[in-house]
Amino acid sequence: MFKKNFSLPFLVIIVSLLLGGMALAQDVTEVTFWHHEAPAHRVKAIEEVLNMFEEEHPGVDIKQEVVSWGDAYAKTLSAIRSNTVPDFQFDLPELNIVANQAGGILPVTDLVKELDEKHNILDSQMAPYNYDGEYWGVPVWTMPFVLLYRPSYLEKYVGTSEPPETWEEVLEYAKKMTVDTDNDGETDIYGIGITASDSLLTQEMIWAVMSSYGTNVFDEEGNLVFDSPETVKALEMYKKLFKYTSSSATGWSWGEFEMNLAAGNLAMAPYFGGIQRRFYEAKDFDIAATTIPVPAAGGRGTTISYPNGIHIFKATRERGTYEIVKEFIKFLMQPEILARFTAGQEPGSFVPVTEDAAKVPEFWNNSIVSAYEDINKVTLKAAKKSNVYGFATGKAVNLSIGKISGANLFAKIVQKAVVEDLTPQEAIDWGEEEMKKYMQ
Amino acid sequence: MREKKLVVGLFLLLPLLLLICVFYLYPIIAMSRLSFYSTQFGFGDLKFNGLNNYVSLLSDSTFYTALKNSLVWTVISLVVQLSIPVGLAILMNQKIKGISVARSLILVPWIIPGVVVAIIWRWLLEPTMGIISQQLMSLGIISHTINFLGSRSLALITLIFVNSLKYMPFGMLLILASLQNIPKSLYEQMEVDGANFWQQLRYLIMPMIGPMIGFMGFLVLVWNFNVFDLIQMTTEGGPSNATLTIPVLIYRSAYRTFNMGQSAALSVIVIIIMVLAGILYFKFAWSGSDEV
Repeated sequence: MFKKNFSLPFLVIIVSLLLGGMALAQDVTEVTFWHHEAPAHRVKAIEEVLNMFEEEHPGVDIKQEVVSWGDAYAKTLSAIRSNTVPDFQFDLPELNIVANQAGGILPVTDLVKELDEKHNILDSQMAPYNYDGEYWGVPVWTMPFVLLYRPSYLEKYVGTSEPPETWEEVLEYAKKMTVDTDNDGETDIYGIGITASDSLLTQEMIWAVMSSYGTNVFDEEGNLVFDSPETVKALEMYKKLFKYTSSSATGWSWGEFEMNLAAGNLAMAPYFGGIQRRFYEAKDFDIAATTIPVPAAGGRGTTISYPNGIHIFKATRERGTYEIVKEFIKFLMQPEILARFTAGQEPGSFVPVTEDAAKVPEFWNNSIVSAYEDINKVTLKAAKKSNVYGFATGKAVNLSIGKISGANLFAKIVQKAVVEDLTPQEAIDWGEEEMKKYMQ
Repeated sequence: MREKKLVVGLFLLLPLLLLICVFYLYPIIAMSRLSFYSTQFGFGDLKFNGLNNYVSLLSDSTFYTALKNSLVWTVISLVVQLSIPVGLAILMNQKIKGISVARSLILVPWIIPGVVVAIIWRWLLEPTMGIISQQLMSLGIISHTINFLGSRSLALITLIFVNSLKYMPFGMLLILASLQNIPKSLYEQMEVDGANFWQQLRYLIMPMIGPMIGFMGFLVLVWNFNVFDLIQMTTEGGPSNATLTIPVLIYRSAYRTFNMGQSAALSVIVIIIMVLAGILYFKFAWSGSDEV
């Protein structure tokens, strides 16, 4: 009896819930995106922004999926081929070019122009996404290189509190700060931390120097102009500086480099400001930054920065999610949101690309950003005078830069000069020949 | 009756054949086809290119560097991973207190994923702060730190050592299983006849475990030639291509420099090399050990 009485209303409730759930599910539009920021604190910061957007847009469910940088290219290409792409993806200019050449993404020129008008996006960060007459990605944050240094070492071994302004001074200071503190015959502090491994890190470091000297990979017509007196001088300086770094830096990647920097083994280093989190956790405040130096004889004085942007896949048109993705990007680019999004993910390393987001309290109130306020001011300043290899002229004029950087060619040129001890001119000649192969 | 059995047998084999066709045969055919095309990504921009991918590959010095490194890697790995596990297995076959714990512990490197092994060893081998250089220095064995992964002369041999540490436990396990199949009475008979350890090894143990070593040799050959994760996660083929092997070059061509046609050509060459190596191995090495 109980069974009969219980079953009917129970069944009605279950069916109603299911139908209600289905109706609700039909109202919710699901949007998926890929990003490449695997650390838990970055995923959490992204989730917070997604929740804020979903609160304002109850009918939208945005899901983040982490794809490591190591897999990003392979998975993007496979997804484009099999039409299983997410709706949008965070990228770097190289990944943007690859996704575009594989026919997977949509132009976003109108959106970029609208956002630029509203929030004033840094020109240096928009340029790499502008090619073939359109913008193919919306820059969101950037990661500029600055010259990090330990003020206490500078005072103790160089006798000054002023950081070097020219590369010649960097060399002189590096020499003075390379010391064997306990006289055991082993160097304990290296004057500068630069690498010569077959890695993206080496590529970034050499470009910070080359960019400052005025190297261009291509001219405005897309012709290869890499082999220039500026490039040779930059590599000469890098090779000279390498005498004052650890010889093991021929095998260093980010992990080993950051470990040595945090341990106090390196007095100076051209690097991202994002090392702050590691220093903050160790309660180490003996770190400061200055803009990347210039050559004494004059140069371009720019640094390297990596614009991180968003591209929208063509599939959003078929799925009817294109407008929602645009809406999300507009939401994300609001100064308060963008400030929280960047400072929350990686304070000091992820710098907003819009001038308004760099001014709001949401950015400066972040505990790590405020603890290293001076470094962050330098980083923001550096972002304005920065570029990435292949885009130094302000336009992506030759898309073969994707292959050239993918091959770690700038790192390989450093290896030729430092590990194989070729002269800088010989290493650059070799590099230029390799570049020609990738341009065919 | 025999025909019926044959049909049933074939029917039972069908799922496996289907899987092989879908997951191995089709990709190999598709990749072989791709190797005759000029293409960045493997789709969309296919242009028939004849044998150009092969020609450009064979005229590229990087290919020969990678091939040489792969051969050095495989040959040294074969020697190390076939000899040391034999000694370890003999040791682990003894009745010593706590041997079962030792047997379990020795398998740990084999169980750990390759990516984790790579990261652990990167930290251990870091010259300035890594534990290995520091300990060797404090024990007075070396006077200067050793640049294991950043030196052109040391990087390859260091990675072969690290990789061998990972694979040796599995070899040891196979040989140990083989050793435990040797009847105890045979050892006793040899002891009665006055045979010492080396004579037992030569006339009893090696002939009995020979087929297993032979089989293991093929596994070691294939596995080691194909190692990718450890190299990619530690040196990415550097410094100055000192650890660049064929699998790393295949990945680099496909997803770094986006020359999928050439990457496919390289993969076809590897398949040919591996199939030839397999045929030669089983013709000469394997059948030889079987006859023992």
